[in-house]
Amino acid sequence: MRVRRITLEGSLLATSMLVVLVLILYPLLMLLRRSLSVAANSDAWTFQWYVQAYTDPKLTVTIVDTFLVLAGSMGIAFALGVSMAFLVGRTDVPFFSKAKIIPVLPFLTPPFIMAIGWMLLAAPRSGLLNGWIRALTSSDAEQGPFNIFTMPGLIWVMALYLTPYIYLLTLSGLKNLDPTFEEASRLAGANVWKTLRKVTLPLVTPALLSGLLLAFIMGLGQFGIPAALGVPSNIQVVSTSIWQNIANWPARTELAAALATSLLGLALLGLYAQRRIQGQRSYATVTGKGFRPGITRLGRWGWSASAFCWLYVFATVVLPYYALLQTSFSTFWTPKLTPSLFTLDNYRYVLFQYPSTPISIRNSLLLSIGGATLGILLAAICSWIVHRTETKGRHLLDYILMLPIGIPATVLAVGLLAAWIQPPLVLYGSLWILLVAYITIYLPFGVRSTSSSLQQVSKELEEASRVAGGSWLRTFRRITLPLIRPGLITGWFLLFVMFMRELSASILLYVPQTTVISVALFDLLLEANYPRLAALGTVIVLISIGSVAILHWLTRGAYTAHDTVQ
Amino acid sequence: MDKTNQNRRRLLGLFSKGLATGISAAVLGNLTREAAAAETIDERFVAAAKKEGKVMFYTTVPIDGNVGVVEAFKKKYGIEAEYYRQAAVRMQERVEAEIKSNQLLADVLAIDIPLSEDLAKKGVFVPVEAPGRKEIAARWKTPELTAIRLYVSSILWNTNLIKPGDEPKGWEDLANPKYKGKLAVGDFAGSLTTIQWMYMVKKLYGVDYLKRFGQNRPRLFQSPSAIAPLVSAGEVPMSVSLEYLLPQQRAKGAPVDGFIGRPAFYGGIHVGVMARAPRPNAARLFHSFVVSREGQEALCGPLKSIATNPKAEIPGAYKLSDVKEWFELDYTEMYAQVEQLRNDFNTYIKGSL
Repeated sequence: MRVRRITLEGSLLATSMLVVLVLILYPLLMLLRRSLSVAANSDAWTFQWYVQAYTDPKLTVTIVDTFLVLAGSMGIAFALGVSMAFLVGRTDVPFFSKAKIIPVLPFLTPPFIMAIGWMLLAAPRSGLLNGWIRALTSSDAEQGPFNIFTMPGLIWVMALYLTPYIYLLTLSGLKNLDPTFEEASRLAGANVWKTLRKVTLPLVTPALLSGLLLAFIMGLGQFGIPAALGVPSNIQVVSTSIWQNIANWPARTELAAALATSLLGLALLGLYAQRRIQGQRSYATVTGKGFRPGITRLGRWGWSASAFCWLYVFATVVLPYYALLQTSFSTFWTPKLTPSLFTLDNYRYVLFQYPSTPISIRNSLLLSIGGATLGILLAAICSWIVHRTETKGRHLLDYILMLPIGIPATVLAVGLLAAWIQPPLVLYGSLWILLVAYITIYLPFGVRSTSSSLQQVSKELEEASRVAGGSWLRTFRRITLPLIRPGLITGWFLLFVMFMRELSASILLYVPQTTVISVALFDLLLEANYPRLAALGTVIVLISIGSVAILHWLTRGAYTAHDTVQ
Repeated sequence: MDKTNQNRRRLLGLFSKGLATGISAAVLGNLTREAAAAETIDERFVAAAKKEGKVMFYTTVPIDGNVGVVEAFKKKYGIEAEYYRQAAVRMQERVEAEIKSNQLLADVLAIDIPLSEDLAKKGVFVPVEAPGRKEIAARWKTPELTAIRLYVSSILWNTNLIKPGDEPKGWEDLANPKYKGKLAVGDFAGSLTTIQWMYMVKKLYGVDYLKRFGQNRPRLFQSPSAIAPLVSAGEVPMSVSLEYLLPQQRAKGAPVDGFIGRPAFYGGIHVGVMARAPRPNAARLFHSFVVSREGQEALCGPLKSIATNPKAEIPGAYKLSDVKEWFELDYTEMYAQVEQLRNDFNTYIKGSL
């Protein structure tokens, strides 16, 4: 009996590690090979691309600009995300405490769509918001007051893009927090704010750090927003620099690969920093005792808190979606939609004439649901290996799992294409290559989510099960998975949404039969056909909201059952 | 002796006439066969193409053009046609990767000049003939490639922001200080058109022009097609553009005007049949359709673009005859100078921002 348990456990662990290593290391190896090749079809080796990359004086400016954008946007996103998570997850803030999904709505929008929405709002001459403000203030100015094509404009939109990541992971951490610690603080005389600073936030440090790390990496690899807004602002970040070397004539893919492999180092630094800060402290707050999450009563501050949340929703959802909606009914982009310019042709086109619409929706839903499910299961197993076993090499596995998000998906896709277009396993031309690509690229996010939850669960619960005679698999299924359900659900949701809006790898790996939503949208963006882009974007957002609403309804039922477990 | 010489001369004459007749017959015979082959290419291949089931068209042409030509082809021949659209450089990367790994899916490829010529040198295409090709002028084709769509450099402006009398008259006017803060151009790193434009104006007017143009602090965006809607919206008063963007924006009711530059350089799309096409007969049939009057009308019509087939009628679009003076781009020289042009752009234009 004992031998069979070890064999099953060992086999599953070994298989999972092997799958992860092949998924991640094989394409990275192909990418590294490309960065050392003289040219695409050459077998000759060279270091010239690294020399060229690191001796280019513009690279310093690019790196400085990248960090300025990241620092500014992460700061704003952290403030917004943590505030929202605390208000929504731990207080009785009116409306939002019952509608936890609302702050995540911006997450459903492909990043470049959000950038376009804000361009339509805050372009200095023709932006809608600028026009309204000039009209309201009877200003004679021809431009402003806002200019989205500036560093603050870029930071603002990036912050809106990053906030949901921090919000989700912080919320997940707060859900697993035993209120006993906060109650003890309040009983000792500390008020809400002191308890928040001295007890709550330190206890959810794993979630906060995971959120910050995630935001850092996503911001580093984000391409759509700086591409839409950075060029007019004369701001070049690393991801757009890499993209331009791949996408423009003359192509310098090898140089892009050399630049991209350097980003790996940054990602590993971030992970190392997270580990050092967390140190050996225990953040286990889910123990053998059951609990209900505590709710702080805001009293007269409740409506102010609710207004703050509504302001966030207005800025991230209502305003940009309105701009897109107005543009979708116009023959061309104009701040003044007159009756003569009003048309339904854009919707007619995207719904009935654009060949990519039906096939892309079908493919994206298939990939997102199936991929998120497979991905989160693999993530849970990997997290368990890293945090619960004494397996040799588990720390190395943790670093390997982080590698893909250190490289912009655009460039990793070059490695993915090279890996899966040739024997021994040819996936090119099928949905499988997209599935493999999505899981390869985004598995780290699932792992962060499940790891964050796992670290808050004390080992004693699983040990109790094993002592009582439960097998490893039974313990994993009946004890571990239910306890980390918030992390599983959050991780699944993260993966689902990321897969739905994934563009950077899809644009290189798709064929007509495997077109996905983001590619269908991006094709319209390449042609700067903003009205049609806005129409299709609106349709896609409605489908995404509908899918997420259904999922939220389904999973909330499961989570409610967890709440009542004593 | 005289009689011998006369006989010799007679024989020589007969021989010469015979030889000339024979050569003429051979040449004419070849021409006739070629003509016969070209005129019957559709009949030869339709049945075989139908057996192959479909054709896969890889293209960098904008969506509406692809939808137009694919639908027209399906309607004419009843053969399924799919298109896969990608940006030019990514398309080249994709095609080369597919060929290298023996996973080629494309039958016909339409891709921007000069990437088409890069691929042709690598043997990616096969020489083909088609009735429609014969109608197209020699300068727009090579043995393997045929230009099916051209775009030429132009200037575009918003008529609400650039009043009558204030419009530029040519490229040199764009360096006039009165247009400071009113111009836009594609970013060098992202726009082949900008590279071509820089190459042309530097050759015509020298580095001093670039300095003066840069002093007008032009705004940068990804490409002329990205700038055109901004001109229509009034966000940008004027831009270096491509000719088809003017009729496209006008057709939507936008307040814009413009003209083809003089001289004007051209870019365009070449189409060719893949040497290792999975469906060679369908490929040739589709190719013959695309280069024909009907095919080019279907492709260029929605885009309001210049067609190369002189019989094609594209309502609202410019014609080849509207280009008064051509500037020929030497791609070999341009490629050799691209890093210097990049430095010039970064120094004089981007550096001024």
